Amino acid sequence: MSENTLEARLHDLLSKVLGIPPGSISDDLSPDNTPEWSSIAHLNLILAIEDEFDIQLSPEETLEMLSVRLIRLYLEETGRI
Amino acid sequence: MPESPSSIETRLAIPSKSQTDYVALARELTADNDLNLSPLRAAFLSSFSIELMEPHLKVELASQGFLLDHFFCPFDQFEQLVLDPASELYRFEPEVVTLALQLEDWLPGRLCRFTGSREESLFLVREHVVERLENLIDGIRKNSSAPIFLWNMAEPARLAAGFADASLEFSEQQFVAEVNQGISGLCRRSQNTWIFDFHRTAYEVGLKHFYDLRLSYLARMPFSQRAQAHLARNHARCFALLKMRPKKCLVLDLDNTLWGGVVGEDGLSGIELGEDYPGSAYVDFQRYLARLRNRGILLAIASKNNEKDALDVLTNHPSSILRPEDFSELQIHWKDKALSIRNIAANLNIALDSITFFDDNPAEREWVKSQLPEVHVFDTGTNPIGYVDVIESSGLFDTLVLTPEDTERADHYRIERQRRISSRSFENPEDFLRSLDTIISHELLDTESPQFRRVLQLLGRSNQFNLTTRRHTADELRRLLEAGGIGVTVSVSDRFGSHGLVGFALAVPPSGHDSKEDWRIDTFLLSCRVMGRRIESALLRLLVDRVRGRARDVAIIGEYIPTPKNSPSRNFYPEHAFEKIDESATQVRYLLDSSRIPELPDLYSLKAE
Repeated sequence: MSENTLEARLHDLLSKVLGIPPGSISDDLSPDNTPEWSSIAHLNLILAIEDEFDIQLSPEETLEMLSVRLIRLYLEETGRI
Repeated sequence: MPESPSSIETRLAIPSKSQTDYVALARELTADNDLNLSPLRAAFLSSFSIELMEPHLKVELASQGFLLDHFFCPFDQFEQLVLDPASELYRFEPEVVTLALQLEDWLPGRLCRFTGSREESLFLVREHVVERLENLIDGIRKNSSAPIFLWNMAEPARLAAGFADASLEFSEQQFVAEVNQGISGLCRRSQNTWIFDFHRTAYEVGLKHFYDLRLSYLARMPFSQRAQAHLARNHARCFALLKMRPKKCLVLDLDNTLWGGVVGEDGLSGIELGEDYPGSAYVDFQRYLARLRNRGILLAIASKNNEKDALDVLTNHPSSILRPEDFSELQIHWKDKALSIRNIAANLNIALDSITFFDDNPAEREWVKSQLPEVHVFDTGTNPIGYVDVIESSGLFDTLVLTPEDTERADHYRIERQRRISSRSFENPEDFLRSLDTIISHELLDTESPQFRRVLQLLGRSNQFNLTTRRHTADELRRLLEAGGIGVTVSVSDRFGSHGLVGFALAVPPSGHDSKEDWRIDTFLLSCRVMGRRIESALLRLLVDRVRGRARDVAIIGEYIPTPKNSPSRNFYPEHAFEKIDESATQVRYLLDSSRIPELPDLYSLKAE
């Protein structure tokens, strides 16, 4: 798989923003099972995702994207990659 | 394969960083890095929630050499924190305090019904804002002497009257300007208190991109990611200015720097300088340089040219903004530019590390870098359109305030050139000095003096004629004066013009209760502008007379603390009736016996203010 797939970019970003090893990232990762994913880290994550994928999220979307799976699905559906 | 991670230093140097860069870099910045960052305890008291800005602040401060240790006040608790002497804020012992207040958070309701407000009610709001800010500053001052940065205010993203605002007799934009004037006045009359230009920062980002409503609702952070980064960058620049001494002089090349083309080949009418591009870009660059000069940066020329050709352009070209008299020093010849810069430093009597060099030719730049590593050499880029930005973004000439001496500095040096030229006709230097009709005005400094800021500036800048090089802060100086210290300032003028305030000396009384101890000269300095004119002899005599007016017939101790730069003042005390009493590796101490009085040369007249 190439380094530039959506998933690879997302995992790289998650690892950098949350400060966790890339290998520990899976679809199931969420604030509930990841102490590094605090409420401040969540906003930093959303801002970083907007920056990286050039999108704008609403307050509702910002509050709902509470797992790697939800973020990935959203990015795949919006297709603006 | 993952890319090899580049060093923190390389990543810090990248000018535009993504949110991911900021967050990741901020996490890696710790005391263990080899970046030699100096720790800075900075407190931010905000009317909104500033936590989200932490990565930006950390990274931008690191770019200026600081390792941020922060205190953020819990949301909307700044007033309690400031007023309670036992609060966490003071336990944190901040080295700098920023009051980041948004008027609309602070005075909700006052602004939401803006249209229809009459002049007097706007005036009342302004007074109210300034009064509340003043109370906060007073509250901080009771518990901390740290420098304070006060945010001024920006217009809201949308004006109550929309397009019509600008036509109103009392517009919202004018109201903001009024409040900002009030804040600026408050900073001028408060100790160690400076403006953080929030207004300008918002403009630089652009009001359309500055606010983020979603972050404001979700996290009480009103600013967009871009705005946060830029706010942090400007804060870091301001903090750096508290410690950094600005450069004094910009040395410029001529061909392809101040105009396009080579005057020696293309001739006066062949060079690019005028209304059309690229000549217009050079004209704009010259305009910018003229503004730098007017705020106190000395311009000089180091050019390989025939002097006659080059002066012909500066004197006679109709589009040249800069004229020969705008330059404090001109080195136009075919000799080496490192030598030219050395001559400029010697003739202006300034240190090489206060000089910067701007030349489009990379070979000249490399040569100067290799010969004079102290000189800052600008990487000019290849297009004159970018020249202004290269200088501006370096921040090397930034200052937090301008004094009257700054705005007159370039004229002082030009006059000094005339003096130097006229001195060539005298056989004996004393005859020359007498011919200048010098008047020395002297004054006692007190903590309320309008000269106070200028004295602080001299304490920060003077190197060569500075016996002790004690860089007192405003608070230290205030305490020394309040404890009975005697500070004398001298201002010098002569038939060529005025030099302004150029000398300061401070004597402090014995610290113990034993009045048998001696007075001590804590600080004795002279601006390099008036060195070699025996002004220091007058300053010393004035100080000694003042001290003995207060405490009759006392002996006075003088100290010389050697630095790499102050050897010109090494023999000052022995040449003025002081006797050496002891010497260590770090200082030499001298004593002026109670029976002795330093001589006052008859080269000038004295005037008490």
